[in-house]
Amino acid sequence: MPKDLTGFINRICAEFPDQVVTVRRPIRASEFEVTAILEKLDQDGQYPMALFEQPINMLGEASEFPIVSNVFGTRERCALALDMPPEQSKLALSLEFARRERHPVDPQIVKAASAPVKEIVERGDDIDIRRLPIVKHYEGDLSEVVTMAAVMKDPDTGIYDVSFVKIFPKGPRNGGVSIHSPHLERIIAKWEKRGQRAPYVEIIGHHPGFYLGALANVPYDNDDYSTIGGFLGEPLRLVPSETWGDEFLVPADAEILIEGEIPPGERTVVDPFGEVTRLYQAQCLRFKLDITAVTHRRNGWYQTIFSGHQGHWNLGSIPKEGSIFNSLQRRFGMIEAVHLPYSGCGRLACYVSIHKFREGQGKEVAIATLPESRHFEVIVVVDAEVDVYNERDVLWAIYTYVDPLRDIDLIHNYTKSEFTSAWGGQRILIDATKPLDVAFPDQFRMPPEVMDRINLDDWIEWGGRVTRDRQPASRS
Amino acid sequence: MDRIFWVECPGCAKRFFCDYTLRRAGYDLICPYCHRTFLPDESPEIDERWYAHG
Repeated sequence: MPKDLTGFINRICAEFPDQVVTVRRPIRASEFEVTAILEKLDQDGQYPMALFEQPINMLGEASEFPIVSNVFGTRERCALALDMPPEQSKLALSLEFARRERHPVDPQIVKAASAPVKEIVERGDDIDIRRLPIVKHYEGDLSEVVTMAAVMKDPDTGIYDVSFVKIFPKGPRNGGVSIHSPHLERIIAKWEKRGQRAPYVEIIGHHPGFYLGALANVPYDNDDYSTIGGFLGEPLRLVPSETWGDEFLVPADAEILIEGEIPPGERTVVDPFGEVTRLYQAQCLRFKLDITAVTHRRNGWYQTIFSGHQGHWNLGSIPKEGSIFNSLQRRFGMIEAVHLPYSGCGRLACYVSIHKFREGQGKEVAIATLPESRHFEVIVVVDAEVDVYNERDVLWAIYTYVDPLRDIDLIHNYTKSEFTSAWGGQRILIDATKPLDVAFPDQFRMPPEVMDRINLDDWIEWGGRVTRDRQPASRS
Repeated sequence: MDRIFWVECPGCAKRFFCDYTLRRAGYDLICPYCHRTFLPDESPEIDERWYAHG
């Protein structure tokens, strides 16, 4: 069976039932009930894949499409998406991501009869995207927002690019498209220069390996369908679209596809929307979308990203960490780990741990890390003993090892941050490694041989049962 | 982050913010709370303060 979202959900439900929650009662996707449940779980420190069996759609009707969210909510589930064991969800996952970027698999073209996404085909007046259970996330959002990826095609080279994009519905067959992908913007600019309508297909629901592959750090002229095949570990199955036929191929095993065209030169108002940095994005002008066809599986899964939360952040961090590690390791040879933490929304901050042996190396690595992503605002370098996945440890290193006068550098007049935050063109580099050029205290520890010898389960039992005759001393 | 400005919806009096390119672009803004459309200058109050360094 080709990989798809339905298969992945079934696998998680069967093998990891403790990672799934199901909402069986009707739920109003347009009235924040989906995101309120996800927020409550988040506040409780829980990030299960969430299934909503009976959503109400934008028209106030019971939707035929169940909702799935938080597919990427934990790094462990992202590891499973790449057929890795969940315990390899830290640097091993990031390095495997970087490896797959370099091993594309050519796609395979299939006939519509064997494409699940062609089970139902809607065209013309039959289309009404408001029948989808599109989620309204936050109270200040302009509208419900489709949060998954879109594919577009370069009119000159014919390469396909897949990137995450937002659609703001503007009626049954219209929308506003908010694109933050430099690759897709470049494709649209080419179509606009020709004065032609740009083909566009939104892909709502596919195997999580599909979306992870779409986030690979590949150059513009790369064909993303082949890259995604590398992440799936099998050829991505493609089928001719309804609107453009063989001229534009679409994923055959998707759950729902929205085909449309972006007219040249036309813009529409979109946003606010609660974005990755947990702030609203400002209302602005973006591209118009005229919808030409909707194809889907019967009762297909409507997949959505819970923006500004852990799953959204994992989609920023995991794709970058491996390639940054490889780049730094080639240069320095003493890198222990690289992590883009949740506190930086998986985009804005980068923690690097190193095996430092000479004073100055912390700063050297920090300077080299900054240009690895245009989104970085803060770089922190720590010693290898500090766990970069544990923010308490990283902050401890900052608060104990950093002399602000020499270990913090403010870079002025750098590229302006694209994300919604107060940062302008400034960046901060922090060397939080232990100083080697002055007499400095050691971090305390127990003798390692004792730590190795003590197995907690052999020594303790939980609970306050008193087994000796002598009662505990009274405090009074 | 690009410059923004805050407006107050003349219909429901709720506030939201917009990219500064919309300040005089001639496009109607859309209130996310009541969906009334209006030009920025129709807002009873506009906050367009910004950093002195640009």
